[in-house]
Amino acid sequence: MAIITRLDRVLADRKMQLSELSEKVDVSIANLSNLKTGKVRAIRFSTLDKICEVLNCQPGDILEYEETTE
Amino acid sequence: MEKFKKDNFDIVIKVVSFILKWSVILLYVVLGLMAIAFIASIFVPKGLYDFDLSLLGNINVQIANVVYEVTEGTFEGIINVKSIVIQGIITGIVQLGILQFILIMLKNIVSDVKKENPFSSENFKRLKFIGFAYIGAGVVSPVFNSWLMFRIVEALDLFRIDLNYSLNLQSIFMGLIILGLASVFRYGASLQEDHDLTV
Repeated sequence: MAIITRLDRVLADRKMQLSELSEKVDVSIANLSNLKTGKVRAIRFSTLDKICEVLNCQPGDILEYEETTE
Repeated sequence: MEKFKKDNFDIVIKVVSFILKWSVILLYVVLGLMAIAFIASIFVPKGLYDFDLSLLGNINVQIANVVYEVTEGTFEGIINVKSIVIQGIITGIVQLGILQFILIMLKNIVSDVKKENPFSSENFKRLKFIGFAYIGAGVVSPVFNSWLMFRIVEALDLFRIDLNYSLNLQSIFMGLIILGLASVFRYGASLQEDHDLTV
């Protein structure tokens, strides 16, 4: 997929574990893990809003567009 | 939109699940008994199947909601009913077998609904199979019924008969409706997948 997530990088910068983020944004670890590994198809604005609020970042810090050759 | 009442839904599903579970078990028992009867009917000596028609009393025959009375003494002589009994059992096994297949598919669908996973690709396939089973029954069932009735009337030597075959259009129409519903389920399954892959 052309959209890749940088959640692991942002988490590492904030020195935060996935479990801690899971508690704070009220999203299951399994779902966040899927988001981290790019296994999801979509992300809700509400989820993105909470993640950005907790991690104090912009959506662009978490999601990145990477050009792929078909 | 009307509010979804989960409690009522759970009760309905539990009741349906219970009815389906016991229907499947009961039908397995009936099918088992029919299988035993089928095997037994093959090995029973043909002579035991001789039937004296003069023993018949008045018979009421219902055709399309009209009851005809066949009076005592209409039939005479002794006929051998072995092949009719065997055909009757085969017809029963085929028809109940199709019904059992449909019930098992429904039971599995309800079981998935209980696990809160109604819109799965498995359920789409099950509904599709139910639709095809109805269409198959609409074609196959009249063959066996006509065959059996033909043999009974022929054995009674009542009147000259021709074997008239017609499809069971009601069953075929039902099958087509279920296939239509199956495609709605397929769309539901794709929406469910989208939902599951959304965080």
